[in-house]
Order: sequence, then structure tokens, then C-alpha cells
Amino acid sequence: MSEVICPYCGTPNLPDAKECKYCHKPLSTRQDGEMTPPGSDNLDWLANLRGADRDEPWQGESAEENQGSRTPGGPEEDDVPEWLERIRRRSMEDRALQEMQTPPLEDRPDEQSLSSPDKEGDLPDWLKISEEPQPPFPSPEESEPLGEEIDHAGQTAPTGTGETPFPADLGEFDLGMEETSPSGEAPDWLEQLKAEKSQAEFDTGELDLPLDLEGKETPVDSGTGMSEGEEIDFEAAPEFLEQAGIEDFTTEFPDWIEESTPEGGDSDFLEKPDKSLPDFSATEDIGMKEDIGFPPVEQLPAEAQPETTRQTEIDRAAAPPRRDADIEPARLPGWLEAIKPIESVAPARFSAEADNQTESRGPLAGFQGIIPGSYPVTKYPKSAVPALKMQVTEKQRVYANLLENLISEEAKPLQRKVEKAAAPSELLRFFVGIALVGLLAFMLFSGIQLGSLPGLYSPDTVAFFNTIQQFSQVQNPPARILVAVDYEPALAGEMQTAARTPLRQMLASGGQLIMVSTVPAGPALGEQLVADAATDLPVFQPDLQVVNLGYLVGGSTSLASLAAQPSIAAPALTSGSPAWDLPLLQGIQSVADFDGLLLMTDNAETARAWIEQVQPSLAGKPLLIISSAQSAPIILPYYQSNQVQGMLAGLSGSAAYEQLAQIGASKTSSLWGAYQAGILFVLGAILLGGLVYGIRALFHNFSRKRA
Amino acid sequence: MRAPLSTAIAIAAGIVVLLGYFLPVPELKMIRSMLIDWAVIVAGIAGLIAIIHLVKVHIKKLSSEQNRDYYSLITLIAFFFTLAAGLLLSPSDQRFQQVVTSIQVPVEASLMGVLAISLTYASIRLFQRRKGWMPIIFAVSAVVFLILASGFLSIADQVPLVKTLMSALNMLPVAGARGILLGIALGSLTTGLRILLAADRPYSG
Amino acid sequence: MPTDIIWSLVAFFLTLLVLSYALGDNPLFHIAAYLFVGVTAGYVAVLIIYQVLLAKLVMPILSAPMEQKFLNVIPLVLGGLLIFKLFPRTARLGNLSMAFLVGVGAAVAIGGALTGTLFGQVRGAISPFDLAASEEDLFPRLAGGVILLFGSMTSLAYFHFGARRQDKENVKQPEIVTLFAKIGQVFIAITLGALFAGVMAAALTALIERLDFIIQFIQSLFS
Repeated sequence: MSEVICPYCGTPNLPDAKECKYCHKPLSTRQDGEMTPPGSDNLDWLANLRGADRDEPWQGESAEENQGSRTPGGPEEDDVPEWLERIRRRSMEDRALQEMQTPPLEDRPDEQSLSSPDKEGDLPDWLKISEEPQPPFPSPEESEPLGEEIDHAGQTAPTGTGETPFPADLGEFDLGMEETSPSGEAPDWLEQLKAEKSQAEFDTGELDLPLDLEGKETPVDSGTGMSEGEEIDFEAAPEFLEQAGIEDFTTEFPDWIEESTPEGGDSDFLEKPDKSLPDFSATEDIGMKEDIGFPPVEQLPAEAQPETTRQTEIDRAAAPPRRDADIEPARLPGWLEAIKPIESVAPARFSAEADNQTESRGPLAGFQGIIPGSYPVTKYPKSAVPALKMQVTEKQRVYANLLENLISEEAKPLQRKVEKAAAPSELLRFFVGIALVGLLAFMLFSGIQLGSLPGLYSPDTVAFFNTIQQFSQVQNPPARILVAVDYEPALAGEMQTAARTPLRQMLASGGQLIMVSTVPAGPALGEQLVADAATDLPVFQPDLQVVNLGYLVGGSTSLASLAAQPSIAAPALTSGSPAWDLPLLQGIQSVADFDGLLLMTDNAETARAWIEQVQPSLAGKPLLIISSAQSAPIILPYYQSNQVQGMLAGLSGSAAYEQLAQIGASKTSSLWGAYQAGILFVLGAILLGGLVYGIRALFHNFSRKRA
Repeated sequence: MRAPLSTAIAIAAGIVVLLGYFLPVPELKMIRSMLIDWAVIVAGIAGLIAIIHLVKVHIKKLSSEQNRDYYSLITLIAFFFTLAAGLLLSPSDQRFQQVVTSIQVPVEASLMGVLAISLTYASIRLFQRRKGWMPIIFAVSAVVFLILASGFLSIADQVPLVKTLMSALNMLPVAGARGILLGIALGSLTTGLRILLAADRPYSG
Repeated sequence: MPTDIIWSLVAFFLTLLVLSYALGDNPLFHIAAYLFVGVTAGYVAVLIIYQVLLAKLVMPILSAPMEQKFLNVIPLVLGGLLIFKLFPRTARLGNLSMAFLVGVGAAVAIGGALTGTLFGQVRGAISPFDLAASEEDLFPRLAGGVILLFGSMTSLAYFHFGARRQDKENVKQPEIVTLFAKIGQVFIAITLGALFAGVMAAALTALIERLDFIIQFIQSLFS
């Protein structure tokens, strides 16, 4: 044996290791180099093999108990070691001692506490099983044939105990035991159990208390359910040993059994050889398939008996004598070896392979038989046994589901609470758009006027009109006005409508317009504006009256440059040719040389830039602004502070200006009806919306107060 | 200090230009004028580079394997066509200026028209879910100035009270607007001073 | 077909494409928007080439005296450095030009804000109280001046976010500033209401102008 495989994690360990180097769980080695987990765990996987469902424990356990206890084909049958004999001897001594010392069951607090339901959850499985009232081990004559079916999870299996007096349901049985006993209203089956117990007590002088509960050295195989009432004939060697020709066996425990017996006592099967049971290795499928019925071995014909049973006996008989008679290697019984869980994770061949393996890499390359490194990991096959099914109660399951739901709810993104709109917004918007466009188109098409052009004029409009009149009156030479076309194409309609009349007046009086723009579209819009304003104007001379200096790049910086030196800021026309050679620009050194500045803008920021950068350099020359209605409120303070001498704002300002100038039919008047209708529509929308929402809020508050 | 050369250039240029505003020194004014003119040229080139970058982005979007934007093709064709036409015809050509009057104006003006529809729709919900007095004052102010802009009050132009009322109402926004303008000016002043004192260096990115 | 009619047709269809956005986002609107971007970029590029590169850079270098040529090389170099901004690896080289632009721009903003707005608006705020001015309508002028001055001060107080530390934890504005800020809110709300009305009126005018164009275009087709 070169190494020991940990049954818990599969890590290979040194042969003399007491515990796993990886998981630090105790290693209980066997002679063949394989391990079995400590007793309680043994019983766990045994219990699992019997069936995960604990609803039918007694049938299964009793069956297993019988099978296990009666396994004839174990290695012990051939060679019972001396440690086994020692166990038996000690058991006898202890039993005799117990007969004198052990009080009645009711007087033993330890056992009562162990059997109490509260403590049950803290006990290892093997102890739980041990504390359950064990039926007296039936005599071979009383035992039913093995053909009884073991009922695992509602299925049947051979019991070997004859007609079991216990109900099929373990839980019910447990409760029944704990609940009915005090009241004294025990069911029939319990009465029968008590009677059998009494008989066992009578026979043995004590209850069928597992020995290990009393701290005795010899464990009772709780897995098989062997109770103390089952006396083992220690005097005579078991038949299987005799058949194997083994006479010399010691009762001394080997080291591994010394370590393992207090915990599990899994060697109890050695104490109960029973040839009436077949080798459990032949019935290993019982645990897996859970639904195989076995006829009792005794009833089977010899050729029908499990092959392995007979074969094991033959093998044992033909086995070579032991090399070391002092240390008798303990061996698992065939049935236990066959179903041991380690097989599923650590194949037996691994050990041999690892022994002969030569390390191929790392600092130990070339050495043979060393502890393998990464190799074993890759050798482990996938678990052939499905994962153990967790035993959970219904309450635990509910809690687990609750926790799962909580976690899944946490992982879900929060759903935004969508506020319910008064009406589908898209639909409402669509209808609003259709209604507005329809109304405006109707007003434009029909030419209906809702009211006359404004008869009240704001002071800024009046001031603007007066200044334009002054420009128009300047003659010889005519007024040279710097015109800033600084509006975007978006509001070209409004701006052109507002600017048309003042420009036309200036052009009609021979005024000269020098256009610049800080907006890229400005030069083109300026050209279009002048062309529109001068339509049908007989005295207009484009080349002599209008110069387009084009686009000033850089916003405020270019305006500062323009204020300082216009000829440097705008040296060329839009065509690229030099501008300042033109007669129109002769004598212009600074912006103060212009007669005035007319700014047309739709943006308060642009207006602010012109006022900040250029207006201080105008040296008192008037600055007029034609603005869009949207920027007028911000520009108005500049008029109030006298930095701007006049302002015309939007279509209403244009209408007022045309009224002042006594212009008849114009573009403004044609749009005025639609404009007023549109304003009315918006006012109606605001008031209607306010009314609806006000009433809703009123009702909401009222209902909330009532509630 | 990060980017010391850039910071020095920004501070030096800024201080010279600023001094030129207030000190009546002809040489200083000349230098200031020259620096501003240089800045205008650099700003123009920066604008051109921004346009090149825009074209680059649209070429990238068009050649992207995953999210190919076929609309970018329209942009690129329009750009190169306009550029070629402008270089051939010059910006002063009436045919080239149709680019503005027949393409830019309809598109932008129509967008403003769509804005009118959206604002009208928004007007319906002007009073919805508004708490406090300020929104109410805002809405009332909007209604009052819409009435003033509509010109309907001009019907009563012979009534002296209406004229006085309109004058008073027209002056009301001036107070708030002046406060806003002063706030903007102070903000500009602070921001500019921070740049000239190198507390802010937006050019070092 | 005359060129004007073709351009009018283009404008007509573009108007319809953009107005279709009122019914919701759609590919027709996208076509118009992308076309607009391309055309505008091309137009601005042409303007810059003609009005900046040629007029202010190339022509002076070619025609100006030697000293002037040397001075014109500087903006050329500064502009050339900006080209490095197109490439992420060399973008830092363009920082010099950007620093120059920002420095000049900051100085221009400071000068303009001081001389144009701050001085001008303060003067405008106190001008109604100029008793040397004409005595005509003195009382309305004074009353208006008081309202405007008070409104301007309170509006400005609304933008004042400074506060004094009362103790270790409490930072509080002076009560007078808080009161002024609340009153200033009223004036600002009135101004914003007026601005909303102005925007509404401007947008309506733009829509009316577009509808008028459509009607006239259709009428011209039939006439």
C-alpha cells in the first residue's frame, strides 16, 4: 500500500497518515489500502444505499441488519483475527458488568436524553439509529425468508426479519414512540415490541442498549442494528472460520480498528456471522435499485445462491497463508466493499498506478513511487454515483424556497412605476398637432383676421421707428448702416417679416447697408433679405447700396476685432475679393464711422456679444435691434439702460411698426390672422389644461380628505 | 504645473488683450488687435478641423461593420457636393446661396414648426403636477405675455388704463432679465479670471 | 423647368419631411436631418476657406510686406498645430493653439462683461433716479426705477450661493439674502414666463411661415 485515499475528498495521503492532509478528516485505513469513513458516516452512506427516504427505515434497517449480520461470506469467516476474539471477550465481560450495574431504562438519563426528540437533530445518524428501539434479533427459526421486500421510499425490499411489527413510516414511528409511550396508550405493534423487549431483557438481563452508549469499547453495529440482546456465541468459532480452516485468530484490534471502532463500530458485522444470509456483495444492487426482492438464501438452491458467496468462500479457503500472523489485516466484507462510496471517486487501480508512476515533471522528476502531484486529480473519473440527496424537512424546504424567492427578488431590477398619464401622450400630441396645423392653414388660406393690427406700441418699437426715420432722413451722403444679419435660418421667416419694412425704408431713402454676420448662414440670409426688401423698389441700386462682408468667424472675438478694426476683421467680400477698396466703405476706419448699427438676431447671447463688444465702440451712434420674440425679454434691459436705442421684437413688433409707418397690405398683415389664431389656440390649451388638472386635483384632494 | 507652456501662452495673450480694453496705449491696442485677429484665424482653422472631424466620423459610421449607418452616406454626399459647388462658384454666387435658402431654411424653420406643436402640447400640461407658487407665477406670466403678444389688447388702445397697464407689464420682465444678465456677466468675469489666473486650464486636456 | 421652381420643390419636400416628425420619428425625417448636416458642413467649410484661409491667411502672406508675412506665419503655425488634434496621439501638440484661443477668448469675455453688461446695466438700474433728467413723469419713472432696481437685486440674490458657517455643522445664508432670493424667484419666474411666451410666439411664426410657403407653393403649381 503506497498511499491512502481520503474517502471525503479523494486526496492521496501517506500510508501512515491519521488524517487527510487536505480536508483533515480522519483516515481509517483498511488492509487493502482503502478507507472507510468513520462509523457514523458509514452508516450515512449505508442508509443512503438503503434508500434516501427515511420513511421506511425499519423494514430496510431490519433487512440490512439481518443481511449484514448474517453475511457469511466475509473474510472473517475464513480468518477471524484475534482482535475479534478480544472484542468478544471484552463484550462478554462488559455485559456481565452491565448486568450488575445497568439500571432500568427509565432510570438512565443519558439514554432518555439521547432519545428525546430535541436532541435528535444533534446526534449522528448511527446514534439515531442505535437509539431507536431495536426489535429483538429474531432467531433464525423466527426470521422470515429473505424474500421479503425491502421497502425503500415506498418500495419493498427483503427484510429478513419476518413480519415486522413496525409501521412502515419512520417518522410516524418515531413520533409514536415518543408521544405514545408516556400516555401508555401504545399501539399494538408497540405493545408487541415491548413484549419482545421484555423478553430480551429477560434473556440478557438488560435492555437492548447499544454498548457504545455506555462507553463500552466494543461497539454495536448500529448499521446492522445488532442489539445487545443478540448474544454472540464467542465460545465457538463461527462456522465460516472453521470452513476456512482458520483456527488461530487473535482478539486484538489492529490500529485502524482501534481508531475506527469507537466512532462507528462498523466491524460489528464480524461479530454476527450468519450463514443464512448471502454475501451482501451479491445484493449490492438492492441499495441501488431499491426494488429487488430476494428469496431467502436458505430457500435458494445451491446453484441459485449468490455466486459471490460461494466464490468468496472458495477464495478464502484457497487464500495463501498470512505473512504476518500478528497483524491480521482487516478486510471489508464483500458486500461492504462492493458498495463503499470510495469506489465511485477513487478507483482501486489508481493506487497501483500511482505506485509505479514515475514523476515526469517538477523538482522530483524521475523519482518513482512518490506522492503524485497533479496526476491523481486528472485520474479521478466523474462521480458514478449521483449526488447525495439532501434530507430536508418540509419546513426547511419552505424556508429554502422563501430564501430563494427573496434572493431572486433582490436580483430583479426594480420596475419603474409608470405614472398613468391623463391621456396617451402620443395620441394627444398627434391631435394637438393636427388641430394646430389645420387651424393655421385655414386661417392662412382664408385670410380671416381676428383683430386689427396692434394700435398700442411699446416704447422700444416707437424708438426704433424714430431712429429708422432719422436714418432715412440723412442725405448727402446717405446713411451708412452696419447691418448684422445674425439670425439662424430657423427663424428666418419671423426675422425677414420683421426686418423687411425698416430695410425697405432705408433702401428707399438711399441708405447704404454694410452687412456682416457671425452666423454662417448670415451672408446668404442677408442677401435674400435685401433682395426681398428691395422687391419692386425702383430706386434701389444693389452695387452702390449694399455690401456683404460675409461671415465673421470666432463669435465674440471676431466682434472685438470688428470693433477695433473693421477692415482687418472683415477684409473681403463673400466672393473673396477685397472689400475696403469699394467706394461704399471709403472713410470707414472703425465702427464709429458708421451712422448706426442695425442688429438682427434671434439669440439673446448674440445680442449680448454685440452690445458688449461693439456698442462701446459706436461712440454714441445708435444701435437698433430687430429681434425674435423669443429673445426680446432678455434684450429689453439693454434698451432700458439706453445701450440700445430701439428694438423691434417679433411679428407683433413688426405689426406695430407697420402701423406706425402706415404700411398697408404687407407680409405681416397676411400672417397676422393666423398668428392671432395660433396664440388663441395656445392660450386655450393652457387654460383648458389648467382647468382639467385643477378640477382633477380638486377632486383628488376632496376624495383624499374623505378617505 | 501641468502644461506650463500652454498656460503661459494663455495668460500672456489674455492679459495683453485685457489691458488693451482699458489702457489707452496705441501700441498696446495694436498688439491687442493683432492678437485678436490671430485668434480669429485660429478659430477659423479650428472650425475647419471640426468639420473634417465630422466627416471622419461619418465615414467611420458608414464603414462600420457592426452598426453601419447608411444615413451617413447622405451626409457625406451632401457635404462633398456642397463643398465642390462652393469652391467652384464662391459663396457669393446666388446659386450656391440656394443651399441656405432652399435647404437650411426649410429644414430649420420646419423644426421650429415642430417645436411649436410640442410647446402647444406642453402648454396643456403646464399646470400638471406643479407644486408651489413659482410654477403658478410662471404659468400666469406666460399667459399674460402671450395675450400681450397677440395684440388683442390693442383693441382697447383708447383706454388710458390699458396703456399704462401694458407699459407696466412690459417692464416687469426687465427686472428679472437684468438680474439674469448681471449673473451671466459675473459668471463670465469669474470664469475668465480663473483662466487668466491659471486656476482653470481647459486647454490642457 | 426654371431653377427657382426646382429649388422651391426641394424646399417644399424638405418641409414636408421635417414636419412629418410631428407624427413621430421616421426615416423621412432622418433623411432630411442628415442632408441638412452635410449641406451645412459643406457650406461652412466653403465660407471658412474663402473668408478666413484665403482672405486672412493666404492673401496677406502672398501680398503683404515681409514683416507682415512673418506675422501672418504665426497664426498659420498655430492653426497648423490644431491639425494634430485630429489624431489622439499627437493631440497634445494642439494644446498650444487652444491655450492661445482660450486666453484671448477669456480676456474678450472679461472686457465685454465689464464694459458692456456690468457697467451698462448698473448704469441702467440707477438711471431712473437721475434727478437731473427731465422732470416729466418723474413719479412713474421713480416708481419704475425702484421696482426694477429691487427686482434686479433680488434676482441677483437668487444666484448668490455663498453662505457663512454658523458653527461647526451649520452653514447658513444670511436671512436677508434668503429673503431677497425668494423675492427674486418671483421676478425670475415672471421673466421666464415672458420668455416662454416669446418662444411660443416665435415658433408659431415659424410654423405659420412654413405653412404659408406650402400654401403659396401649391397655389403657384395650380396657377
